[in-house]
Amino acid sequence: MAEVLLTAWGNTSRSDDALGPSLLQRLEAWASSLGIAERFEWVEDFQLQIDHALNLEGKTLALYIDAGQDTAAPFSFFPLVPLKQPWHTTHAMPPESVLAVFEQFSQKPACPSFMLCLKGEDFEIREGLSAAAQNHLELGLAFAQTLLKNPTPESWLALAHPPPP
Amino acid sequence: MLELENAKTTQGLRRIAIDPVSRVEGHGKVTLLLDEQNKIHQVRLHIVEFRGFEVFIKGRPYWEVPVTVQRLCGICPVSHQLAACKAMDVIIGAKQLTPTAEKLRRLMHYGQTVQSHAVHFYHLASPDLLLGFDSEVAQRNIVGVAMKYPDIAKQGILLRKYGQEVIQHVAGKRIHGTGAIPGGVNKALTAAERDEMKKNLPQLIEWAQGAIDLVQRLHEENPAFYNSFGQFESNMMGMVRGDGALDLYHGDLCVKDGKGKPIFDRLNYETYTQVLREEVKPWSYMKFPYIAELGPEKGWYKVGPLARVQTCDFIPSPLAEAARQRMLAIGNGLPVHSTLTYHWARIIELLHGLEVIQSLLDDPDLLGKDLTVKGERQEEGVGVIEAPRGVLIHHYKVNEDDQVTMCNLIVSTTHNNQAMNTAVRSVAMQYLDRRVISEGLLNHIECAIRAYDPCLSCATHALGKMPLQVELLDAEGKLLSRLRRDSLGELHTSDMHG
Repeated sequence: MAEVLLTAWGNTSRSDDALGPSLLQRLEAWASSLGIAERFEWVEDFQLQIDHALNLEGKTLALYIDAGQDTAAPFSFFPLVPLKQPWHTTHAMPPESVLAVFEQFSQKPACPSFMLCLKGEDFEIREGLSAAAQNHLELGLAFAQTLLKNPTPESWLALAHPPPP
Repeated sequence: MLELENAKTTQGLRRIAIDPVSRVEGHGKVTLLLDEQNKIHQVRLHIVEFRGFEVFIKGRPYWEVPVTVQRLCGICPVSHQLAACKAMDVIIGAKQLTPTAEKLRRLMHYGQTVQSHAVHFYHLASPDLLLGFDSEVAQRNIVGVAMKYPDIAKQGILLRKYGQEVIQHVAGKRIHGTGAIPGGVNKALTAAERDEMKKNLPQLIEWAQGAIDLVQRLHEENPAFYNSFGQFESNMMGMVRGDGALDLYHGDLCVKDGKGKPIFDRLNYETYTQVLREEVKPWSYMKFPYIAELGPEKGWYKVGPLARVQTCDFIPSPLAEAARQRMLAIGNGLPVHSTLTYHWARIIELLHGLEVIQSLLDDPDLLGKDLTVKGERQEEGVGVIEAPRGVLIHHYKVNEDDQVTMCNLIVSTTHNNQAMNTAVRSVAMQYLDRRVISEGLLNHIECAIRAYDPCLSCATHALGKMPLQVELLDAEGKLLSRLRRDSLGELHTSDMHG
């Protein structure tokens, strides 16, 4: 069983909201070409929900990938901390809540987990990324490849930015 | 005239809107008109979405339709696909499917019933039932349940996941697969896939039984509340097999009145246009169906789990039938009509779905390779299925160029339109009339709607976050105050005075 969880989400019909799934698909193709894809569990969805807490079982490291609005360009990468009071709506759930739910389900700490947030510009209903997002995707992909080459909490922490306020 | 549908006058009344109703599929709103003493004069459930499927299906080739109509809904796409396929079976003259094809369709359908009922009970309804109707609003959701009752939340997730996996094995995808086609199915099941589905099934059945026990215990602990909340008599419609058994895939329609007396004991669904009419009201996009011979005021009816388990004579799986008998016992020989009993009936059906799946997985026909049939081409076809939320009717006409020339859909939630309106009026009178309105009391109205598990989307998909906003306006429509729950669950009050 893969010990590293990679989860990306977004609506591919809403322009730059597709950044997460697009990066994951390219990353998996790259990992497959190197014969290392089976070391990772690849999860893609429209949105995070409580169900994704179960994917954390047995994992030693997790990466969550999403598009961001008004976030740092081209991307930000930072460690995640489970929320003490997790929240959720019908249409959104932050990864910090997913980690908290996992801890409640399993009664043990979640594995070290990180967020890779790619900045998007356009979230209207249309196919294809904006030019800026396409650039962010290429830079984010190169960074994510670096992460997967050395998937340990220590090495990822060394590359992490401070969490956004 | 239906009570509380239209106020005698709107002058001097203030309006409260619950917009949108949350933890349901799609968008709807409730409006209440009250006087200065908070006496309620009018309550309406408005469906504010517009569906255009019947129109843009026209001109498309018939074989596209079962795939296209799945886009009506992200929760019950399998029901739309199967109802359309059943209609198109008639069009292509496939009078009798092969045993393998019919059983694979049934497997897919009961898998969907399991996943849909699990989503509703655990994700949407359990926050009210387990945490309280007026509990802290920011915690009244599935994450709140997970934090307080982690085992129950986890079971709900895994039950839903199992239903999705069954769909994926038969249809190729969890959502919007292409398993069923006119005349049969397009994919055989492998022994490995069957064996995968058999894993953990006894555990899932045990969990479903536990959920039934939980709901029964809630009713037993507070019978006055559960038996009276949104209680009203109505006709009920459901699909039954020839021997009177509950059948969610195929059968005749059975309609009973509020006392359980048959109105139509067996009705061939192909004749639905002769017995059903639809009324249009200016304040809602959703029509109001009724039984023609009884008229719009007396001919409306309920569909869905609570109607189904009471229109059938029995459930053809032992554990679910035993649970049904325990539920019926609270009616003392008469049908049960309290709105919250929908949850009980729904979980009984979830258990039944798992029992049916278990039985199908033991059937050697399931691994057959004979998947499709066809016969003499017809111009018109009706397909009806019991979707998770109730009777779903698809009706098409197709010309000699294979293009659809007519499409009529009556979706489950439409059948329940008048029943939901009656439920919210009943609850409004029980809990809000002449009282100071609070978010918790307004949630009682939402709970009445949620019990029906309405699928208000069925064409549009809600995008963005789902806040709740309640506005208080004076008789001239001027905004006096606003209570808003944001996407974090936090409440914000704006007072417009001064």
